[in-house]
Amino acid sequence: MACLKQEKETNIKIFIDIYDMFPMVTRVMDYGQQTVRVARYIGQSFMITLSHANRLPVTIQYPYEKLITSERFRGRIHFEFDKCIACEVCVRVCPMDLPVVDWELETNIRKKRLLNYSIDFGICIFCGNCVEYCPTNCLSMTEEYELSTYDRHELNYNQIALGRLPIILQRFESLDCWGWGYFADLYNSFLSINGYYFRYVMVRDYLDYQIKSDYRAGFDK
Amino acid sequence: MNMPVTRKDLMIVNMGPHHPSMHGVLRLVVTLDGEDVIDCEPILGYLHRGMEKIAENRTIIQYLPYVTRWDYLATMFTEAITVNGPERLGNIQVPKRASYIRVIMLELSRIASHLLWLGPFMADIGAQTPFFYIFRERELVYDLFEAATGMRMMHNYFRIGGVAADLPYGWIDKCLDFCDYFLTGVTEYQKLITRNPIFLERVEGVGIIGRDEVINWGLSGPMLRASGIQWDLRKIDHYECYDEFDWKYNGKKKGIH
Repeated sequence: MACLKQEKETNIKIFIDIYDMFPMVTRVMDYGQQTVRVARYIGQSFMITLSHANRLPVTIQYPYEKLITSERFRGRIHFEFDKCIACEVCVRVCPMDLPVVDWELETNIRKKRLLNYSIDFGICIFCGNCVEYCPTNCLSMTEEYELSTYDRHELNYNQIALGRLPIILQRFESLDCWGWGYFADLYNSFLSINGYYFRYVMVRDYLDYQIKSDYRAGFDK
Repeated sequence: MNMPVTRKDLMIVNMGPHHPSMHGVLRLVVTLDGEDVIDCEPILGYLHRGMEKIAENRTIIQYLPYVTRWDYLATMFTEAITVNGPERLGNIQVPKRASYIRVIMLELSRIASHLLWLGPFMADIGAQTPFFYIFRERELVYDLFEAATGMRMMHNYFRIGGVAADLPYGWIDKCLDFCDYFLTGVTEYQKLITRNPIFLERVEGVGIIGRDEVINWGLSGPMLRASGIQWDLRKIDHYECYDEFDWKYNGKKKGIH
């Protein structure tokens, strides 16, 4: 770049020497060169913008197409009532002390008995601390994130609502490659989908969803 | 008949706390002369959320999800500082692998944050298209974060003494793919922006901050380096394992803009 500039300067010098009597001409020449250079740079930038017309869109049309989330996605919390020992560690590590663990001490057998367990998803920030520190692995995170309701009191899930299987397993049993659906009542259904290798997308097909592969996965090549 | 003499006063306009262009909440009371800004008085504090007061009543495990939300654009940095403090105080050794993972995550956060600087900056100047291009690249960073930590933005990933979980299998390959793709993105930005005469005319020579002013006003990061001061906290503070990498300071050696 530097040598080109010098060349231009020497060219301009030559012009100035020869056409010393016509300063207007030199100024017009300068302006012309500048205009050409500016037009070239702007043309280059514009080509970048125009090249996008040849590419696939990067957007996913949300209500009709949904991304399948990664394995570690922190969605709605799933709770297995039978595994909980009412230790309240989940409450102690929660940033807002959110889970409401209703237990009482049975003095005759000298153990705690869990009566009710609820998490209010209107307040939960889905940080995953409770899941990480639960000693019996009764808490896990599903991939549901569409929890909106019209009334925020409906977001206060009790142990029955927390124990439901996530919607995707109920719909796409073919994705349940490890057969967790059979053990719905016994095990927590932490399913594994290779979400981030080849991102599959749920595409709405009439009233239900089909699974198609994501056309964006080729990085717009 | 006297013609009324029009007085030309300066106009004082309030650019209220909400902005359409992702600046966050910053209130500016600008004094305008036509279109030129003569004086500007920023009024801060609209993003104050009482984080320090909340921290008084939480343990460190409970507080880590809050710190990600301090700087929601470059999310891992806040977790890194919250975790590095107790580690240095308690002399806790972090495993080498965890340190490397942290460095990778921090650099990805840095890329994401700088991308999100570029977009609104160009939008302010008037070019709306880079705003969308950066989000395309940022979505790829989000995907990488989601695969490793579980959430696209508010990762709760760093812990005292390491990282919450190891990287999933194949993550490094995806990260390298992202790096290759991102280089093509950077070339695009260079072609689109760097030599663009309109951009240069808007930007060259505007808002120059000299070395003394920079230090007096307490700027840090890229603005400090742009004023010619060779200060990069990664080299100076010797944190994580940045010392093991071979890299140079970035930025102009001398001068301005």
